[in-house]
Amino acid sequence: MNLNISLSEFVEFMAALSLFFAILQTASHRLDFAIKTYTFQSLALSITMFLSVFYYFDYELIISAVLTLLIKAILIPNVMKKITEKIVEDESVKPFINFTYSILICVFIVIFSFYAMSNTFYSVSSSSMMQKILAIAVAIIFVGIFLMFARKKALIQVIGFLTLENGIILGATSTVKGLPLIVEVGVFFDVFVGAIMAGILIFHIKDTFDSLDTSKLSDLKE
Amino acid sequence: MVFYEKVSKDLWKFLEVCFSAIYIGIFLGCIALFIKGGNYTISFSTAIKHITYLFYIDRLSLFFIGIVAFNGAINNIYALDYIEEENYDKKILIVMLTNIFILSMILVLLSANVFTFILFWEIMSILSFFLVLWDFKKEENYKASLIYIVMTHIGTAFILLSFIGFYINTKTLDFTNWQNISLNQQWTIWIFLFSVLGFGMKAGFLGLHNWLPKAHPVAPSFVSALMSGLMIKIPIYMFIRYYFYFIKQYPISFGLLILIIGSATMLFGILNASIQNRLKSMLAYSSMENIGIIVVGLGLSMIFKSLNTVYIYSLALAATLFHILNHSLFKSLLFMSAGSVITKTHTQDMSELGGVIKYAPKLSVITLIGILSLVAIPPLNGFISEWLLYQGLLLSLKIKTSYVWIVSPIAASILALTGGIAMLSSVKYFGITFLGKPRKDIKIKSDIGNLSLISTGFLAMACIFTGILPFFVLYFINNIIPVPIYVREFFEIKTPGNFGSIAPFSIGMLIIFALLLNIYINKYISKHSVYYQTWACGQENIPRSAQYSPEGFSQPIKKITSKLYKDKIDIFDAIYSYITKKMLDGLETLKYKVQSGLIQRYILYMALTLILLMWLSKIYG
Repeated sequence: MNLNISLSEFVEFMAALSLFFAILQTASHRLDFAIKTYTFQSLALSITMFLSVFYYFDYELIISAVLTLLIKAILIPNVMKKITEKIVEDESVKPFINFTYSILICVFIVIFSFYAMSNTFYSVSSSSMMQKILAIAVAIIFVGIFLMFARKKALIQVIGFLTLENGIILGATSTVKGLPLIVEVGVFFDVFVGAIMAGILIFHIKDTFDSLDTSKLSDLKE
Repeated sequence: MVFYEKVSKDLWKFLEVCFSAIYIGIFLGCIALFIKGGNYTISFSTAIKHITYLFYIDRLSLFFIGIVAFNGAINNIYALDYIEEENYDKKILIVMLTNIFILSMILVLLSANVFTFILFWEIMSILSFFLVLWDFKKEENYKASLIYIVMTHIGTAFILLSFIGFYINTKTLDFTNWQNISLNQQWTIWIFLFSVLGFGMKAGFLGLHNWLPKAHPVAPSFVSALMSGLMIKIPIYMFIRYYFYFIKQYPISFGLLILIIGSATMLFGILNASIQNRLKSMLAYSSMENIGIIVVGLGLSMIFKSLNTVYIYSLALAATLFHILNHSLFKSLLFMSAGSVITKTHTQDMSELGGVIKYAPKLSVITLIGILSLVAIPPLNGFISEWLLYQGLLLSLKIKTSYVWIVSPIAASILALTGGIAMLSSVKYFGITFLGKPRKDIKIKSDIGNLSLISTGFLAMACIFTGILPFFVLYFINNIIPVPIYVREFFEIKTPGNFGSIAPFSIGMLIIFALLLNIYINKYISKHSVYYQTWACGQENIPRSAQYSPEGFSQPIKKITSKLYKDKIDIFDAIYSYITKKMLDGLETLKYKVQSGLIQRYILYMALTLILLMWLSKIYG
């Protein structure tokens, strides 16, 4: 067995693991499982970023990686878990599209992303790793969007949004070697505030509609 | 703050004057460019591939732009008074809508590729829709505008189909590359069919006319003047482009069909106009009649284009172009004067009006000039164009073709019949509205505004000017048609082939002299004439309800033609109401399906858009 893998291959592997967890979210029946999967996904993302440091030799990425770990893998999952414990009595995610089809659609999403991103950086003559990670990042983004429109519960939609955000961060790290630090910190702050806001909103939805089912929001339409 | 309020209050006036100045500039520029001659192409490329704005200027488009700009300038002056009087809430909005509408008409006339044309054509259609809908609280306006918008879009669809026909044959979307192309028979027939359906819908051909008599009366009067005087001429312009510039040869039957459509349109229009009791409805149907006259000229010239008889073809085209100019002048005038009457009296029902001449003498004289022009009385401009058209119709008998021998005398006699009924309906229009006594209590707060008198008066002057001295107009028309109409200095117009000649200047002088003589004799010599009230049947002080009523006036013609159209059952109305209802219902259900109110669905739309964009960039990137 040949375990002699290069650094770039390992980075790719971690990114792919992040995609794997994203897809696993679409197969999760329960909210707490989805949150746990999100934790692992963020962890894989932060490892990818951390390892990219040794690939690009851009040490600012360390800060990004640490921030990702702190905020996305620890802080946000904890907040989400607390919200879930407080208000959710029924933990099922209530799908529009059932789990089997969800995974099948995810397969097509991944195929499409790789197709759409192939030869994107042909002229820039960057590494092949960059290209694959970009495709993975796009796939994560689409899976996040898919989660947002295929599930009824508000909480899983927030998780979908956070997944999408993870995809964007991954794409940014892989293609432009990370955003400027100030931007990245701003983005993290944004996401964190977004998560808290979403939590408050979820409280209000729960208050007024007695349910987290966002498909019931269509009653608001005249 | 006070200053700001004052400025924003009167900003619309400033805008009107500015736009008016712009149109005067465009008008003068058109004349200058026309005299200079030559063709110009202007293109602006955009960031998107294959999409460029392309404009083409030649003498034909300059002629039409001149008409639009002239009328637009006067219209803006008139609107100053009208808007002030009506006191709309959103003055700047209606000013901007109207003026962008006028500008879009100018740009449609200039546009030289499919993209540019469709863009400005749609802007024109949609803005006129909003203007028709301006008084949206009235049920009638709402219905009329809905029928208008649906029908105009069906028309646009057919226009696009005809463009596609050209594209398949030439592989290009530029009008400049479509000049003088020879198509095979099948494609010519398809393009002809689509163009008649598409442009005919906008021009108001018989059977496609349904929106016209509904939409024109309900819009604000100066907008009706624009729509009736200018907008329905733009499809005619496109017809001239199609059949005299783009398509090289086509069968004679096209021209015959157009001629028949034109005859039917004018007869239908005038028969309906004669029984209308509302001022603007009558004018709208009369617009339809005039479009019929224009289209008869167009059909005649198309017949002789396909027969290669150049001198008749240019004569008929000259009549068409001249009548387009004339109709824009006198129909704008009549709509404006009707608007002034309506704003003052708050009714447009002839059975309530009457005796307007008592409190608006100047306006009545101006309206009389417009009415006389409408019915083609000699010293005025309508006469010249109809004379040219008659000459064309009669001259066509010199050509030995059996179809033309059958059709053109019939068309000429229908034209004569139309002229007669037009006379009747105009007498009704003027006599009932302006003479006699008011049929209901009508309170007039103030006089007719000076600006509306100036603008309509200017148009009346233009009517007289082009009627007595048509050489100035014929100078421009002669530069468009292949064989010029012979003009001998000030006194004589000769048709090609020495068929007929006329001296409008002498006629005008003679009639003015006769008029003066008549006035002189009546005032100073004749001592036995006694003046009675109008519509009083020679009696004194009859009650106003005993006056001749508009219904009574149109009763005979209503009786004669009662088989042709019935008041209640209008077949066209039924068809188009059905289509409109179906389309709007379909749109409603589609709206509820697309806008479901589910967050998930909106996110799905975003995702689909994203995927589509990525896929497109993959293919074309």
